[in-house]
Amino acid sequence: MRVVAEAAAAVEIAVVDQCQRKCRRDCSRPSPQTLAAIHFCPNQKFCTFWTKMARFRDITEDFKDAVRREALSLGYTESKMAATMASFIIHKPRERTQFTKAALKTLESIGTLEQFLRKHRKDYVDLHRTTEQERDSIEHEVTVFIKACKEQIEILKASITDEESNSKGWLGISADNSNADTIAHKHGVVLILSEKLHSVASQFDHLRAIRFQEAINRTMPRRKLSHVPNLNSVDHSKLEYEEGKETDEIELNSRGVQQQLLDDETRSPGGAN
Amino acid sequence: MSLNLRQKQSECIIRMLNLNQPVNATTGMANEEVYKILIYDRFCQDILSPLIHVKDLRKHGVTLYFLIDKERKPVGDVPAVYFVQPTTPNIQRIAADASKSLYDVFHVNFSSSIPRPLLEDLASGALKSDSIHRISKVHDQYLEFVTLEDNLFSLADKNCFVQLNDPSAGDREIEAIVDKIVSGLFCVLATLAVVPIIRCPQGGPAEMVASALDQKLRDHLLAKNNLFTEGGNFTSSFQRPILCIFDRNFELAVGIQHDFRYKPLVHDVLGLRLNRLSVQGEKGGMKSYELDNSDPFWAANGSLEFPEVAVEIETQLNKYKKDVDEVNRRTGGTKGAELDGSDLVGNTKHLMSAVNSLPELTERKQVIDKHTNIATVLLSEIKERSLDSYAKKEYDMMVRGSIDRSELMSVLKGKGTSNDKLRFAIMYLISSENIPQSEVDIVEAALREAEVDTSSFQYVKKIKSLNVSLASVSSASRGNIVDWAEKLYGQSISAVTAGVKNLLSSDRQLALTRTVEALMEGKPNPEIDSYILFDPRAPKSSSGSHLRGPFKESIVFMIGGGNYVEHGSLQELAHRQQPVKHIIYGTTEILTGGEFIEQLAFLGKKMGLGGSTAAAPN
Repeated sequence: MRVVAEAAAAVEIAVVDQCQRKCRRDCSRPSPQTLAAIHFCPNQKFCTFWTKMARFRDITEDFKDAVRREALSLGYTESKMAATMASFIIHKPRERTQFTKAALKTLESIGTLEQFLRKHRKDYVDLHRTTEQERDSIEHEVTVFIKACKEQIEILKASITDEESNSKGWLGISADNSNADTIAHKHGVVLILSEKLHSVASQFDHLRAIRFQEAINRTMPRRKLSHVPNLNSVDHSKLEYEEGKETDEIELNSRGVQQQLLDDETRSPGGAN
Repeated sequence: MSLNLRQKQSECIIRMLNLNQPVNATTGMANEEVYKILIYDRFCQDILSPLIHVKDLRKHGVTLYFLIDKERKPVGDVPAVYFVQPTTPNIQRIAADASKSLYDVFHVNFSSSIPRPLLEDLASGALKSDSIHRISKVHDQYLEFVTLEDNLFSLADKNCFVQLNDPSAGDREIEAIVDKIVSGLFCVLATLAVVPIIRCPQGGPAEMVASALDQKLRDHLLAKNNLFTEGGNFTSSFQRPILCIFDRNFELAVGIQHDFRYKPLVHDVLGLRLNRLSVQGEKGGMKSYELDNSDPFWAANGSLEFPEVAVEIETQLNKYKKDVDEVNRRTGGTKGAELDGSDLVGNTKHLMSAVNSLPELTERKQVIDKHTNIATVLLSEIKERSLDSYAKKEYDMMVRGSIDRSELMSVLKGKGTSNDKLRFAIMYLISSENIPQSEVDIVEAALREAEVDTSSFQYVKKIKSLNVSLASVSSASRGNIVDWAEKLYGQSISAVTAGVKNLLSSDRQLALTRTVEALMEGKPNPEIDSYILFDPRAPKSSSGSHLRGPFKESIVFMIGGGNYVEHGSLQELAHRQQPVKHIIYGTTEILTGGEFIEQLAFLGKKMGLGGSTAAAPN
């Protein structure tokens, strides 16, 4: 059975060759869809490589054999043996804690937000697909959503510290939930969530910057005609804020946008990851 | 397809972190279990640390990470991913963790293939504590090697050279060492997913490793033959890479010589390890830096000589200052009440581009500061030890084949650590074929006077003398010599000085590089014609003569220890070619000159040459 595991490696090697011959694509490059630089064969129809690669390193079957043999040598009864082996297949559904449930829910929300952004990205950026008002409303929705996610994360964070302090006073709460590792894990969960949210928010900031840039570009040729909207003061800027006399409604809108954008730009900490 | 070992290993690790499930393209995490705890042993920590940062761990849902032998508390509701070597202590610890129900679910991953008995130990341990249901999956990951750059890896196999050249090592011990190397190489090939053509010089550890590796690959390829519909095909040699295996004794000088290029200097002098470095900062405290290919200065200037590096730092600094001035100038703009429309919008654009370029400018400055710091510390070491002088004189010695005695003495009596002087003295031994015994004695005396332990010097002296006496064996000493020679597997020890001939021809052309060039070209060449060829895919009977090249890609493996000088030289070779070729360089461990000397010293003492009792090098 040692051969099985080792053969796995060899098959893998062979399967890549096979995949490459069939697909005629370079299986070593990650496909465009991957986010985490995981390999997907671009041509999944032919590519059994992905599943096989994982499967052949998997020696759980060997482990099961070892368990079976050990159980026999320990004198397990038929029923006990059956129960033991069944535990490999049947996993009793684990009851997740409140904390985990909430965290997963928040993660889902962030995922939804990301999908929303992806779907409307083109609409938002392309000037001909949406009106200013529609874009404003997209912005508004996204901002509200981000805020909601942020709040959820804050609640999660607070619940950790609550539990920390509670477990010291209450007799009923088991020690399991309050050990240092569990608390560290929960902080880890919160950190992961906030990093993910931050990354999505940065993506959106980037989109807004594009919109702003376009707004600027549009006002450029018109600078001789009408007064150009000014910027809210940024620290190192030497420009001063001035009330502008806009004759154009579009410019009025874009000024508000610009101010808001720059407010957020200067507030956003240190740029993307 | 260009072989990128770092990328491939990273992919495997990321897949492992995602519990070996396919990754959801939108969330970037596995669907089933988003959060997990990672547990590793020290060896696997070294594998992970050059490849993945803590914040990248978080991207894959890892909330906590621990060493396996640390005291850990239970954490519920989250699976644990173990990534450890398949050793008895690790197995026992996993079984103990499972019995204590530290975590709900265990995903166990071994860095190399776990031997059957150990797997059974794990099974029995978990059974006895009734915790089988906790162990969800067990994997052999075939990742037991450390990748430092896209094309540089090490097996982290300590003291391999000592073990292989130890006169008291028995057959079984040597076999165990060879197996370990073969297992590591097998992991590399499995990760790259290639079955190369293998070539090596005759005799010695290189042939042993090559032959054992060939056998291992054959066994595996034969086992599942039915999956190959086009089984037994010989893909053209152009697509399969060549694996060239060498032993350190092939070219000893490279491991000892002082080099004056940036990467080798930083490694040799400042103790670069796993791409990390700690140096005294300018303001006092210790600073820790990371040096890998994501550092543009390091990647671009690693092979420059040190003075050129200093110039380059200066250049970058001036460019940076100029760019900052430019930004300031543009955003300066008009001050005062009058606001000309054109200026405003123009300034806005400049302002925006300035804001956008700030992160980039900051990063550039950080890189410049980092290397200024490193170069400053290096410079003080160089000055204190006259390393530039050592490097130059050793080079001259090798090229000329001799050195003026007064110059030699002045070096041995001059600046430098004991190791510096030892290295210089050994280079002297290596640099010329025939040195009168009297001269050697004088050098030894000078070393002793400088209170330097001469064991390593004695060892190389012995090796060299064996080479001479092998040619004319006298009956009196035959017994010892044959024994000793047998221990070295009949390897030609003239290889010790072989490197000299090649150095004489072109500048800094290592024997290794010339040989690899010849092997990759595949044309008939007296230097390599005697080399053995293994093709794990071909039936044993075939001659395989059509698989001698040319090769676009190669993996070069040095048994017994290697360094950045060899790596750099091979990369130079690869880039010189038309079209550009790809060479991955690996070794059993990456050694500084000082560390290698220590191993030579240990061997010298083992042979009773040094005097004091032998203690294994760190």
